[in-house]
Amino acid sequence: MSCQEFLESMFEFCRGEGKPEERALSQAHLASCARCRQELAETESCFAMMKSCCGAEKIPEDLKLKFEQLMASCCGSRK
Amino acid sequence: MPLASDISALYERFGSQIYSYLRRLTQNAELAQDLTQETFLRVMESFQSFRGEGEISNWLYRIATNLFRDYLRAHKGKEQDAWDDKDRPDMSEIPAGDPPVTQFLEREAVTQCVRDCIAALPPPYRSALLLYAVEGKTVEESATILGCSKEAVKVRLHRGRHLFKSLAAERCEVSVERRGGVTCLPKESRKEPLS
Repeated sequence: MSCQEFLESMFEFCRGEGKPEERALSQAHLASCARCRQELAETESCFAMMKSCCGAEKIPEDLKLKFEQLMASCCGSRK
Repeated sequence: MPLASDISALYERFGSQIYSYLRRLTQNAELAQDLTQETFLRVMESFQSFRGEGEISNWLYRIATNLFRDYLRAHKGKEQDAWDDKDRPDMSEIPAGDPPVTQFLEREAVTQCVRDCIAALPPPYRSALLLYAVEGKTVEESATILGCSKEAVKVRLHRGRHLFKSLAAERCEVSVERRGGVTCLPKESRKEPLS
């Protein structure tokens, strides 16, 4: 596997997607390529940081209330 | 038409998730609220068309993403041009060896910095990164939600990450320690040295 091929499959590799044989090829490439190991580590680090900084936001209560009212007016008779 | 209780149950289960995604995607609380409501109204209208293929949450994300895309089209801003940019599956331009940003000081400032950098990304990169990195979707799920190929998603993720890093570098002071650890200090919070 070349660096280009590894980079093209890296995001599937991170999520455990892809066939076992493809993952084995990626792992073998990583074992012998410092540059791709670094790219993978940086990518995972960057994405972990994004996730930790973009936590879930609670939906505003008044929005929920509006939606419930809308539901009641749209199809309340079918409830 | 589905029962109101079905839609309410979906709203209860996925409402916050979709709102959070739209909040990050649109960078506008009011717009995110409107699009969240619209997403579930669309669900109500087209519930019968959901064929049960894949997770229902992916269907909701797809509706929400399309609504934002429609919004950009209607407003014909610069961001819309970016949606129409063709993604070439070429990753050879990825620079090598830029330093990882793994450790931060001043957490609150950094959180805001990261959010600002994500907000500054073109919508196709922003949406792909939010789905994959923040919402935890796979490449395949992200492609389904965004209505593009898996290759296009991967190109957006690669380019988005590197653009994010460039934007972060403009805002933060990155220093590499002797043992390889990296510290990122937001430039805004640096104190001027005493004279």
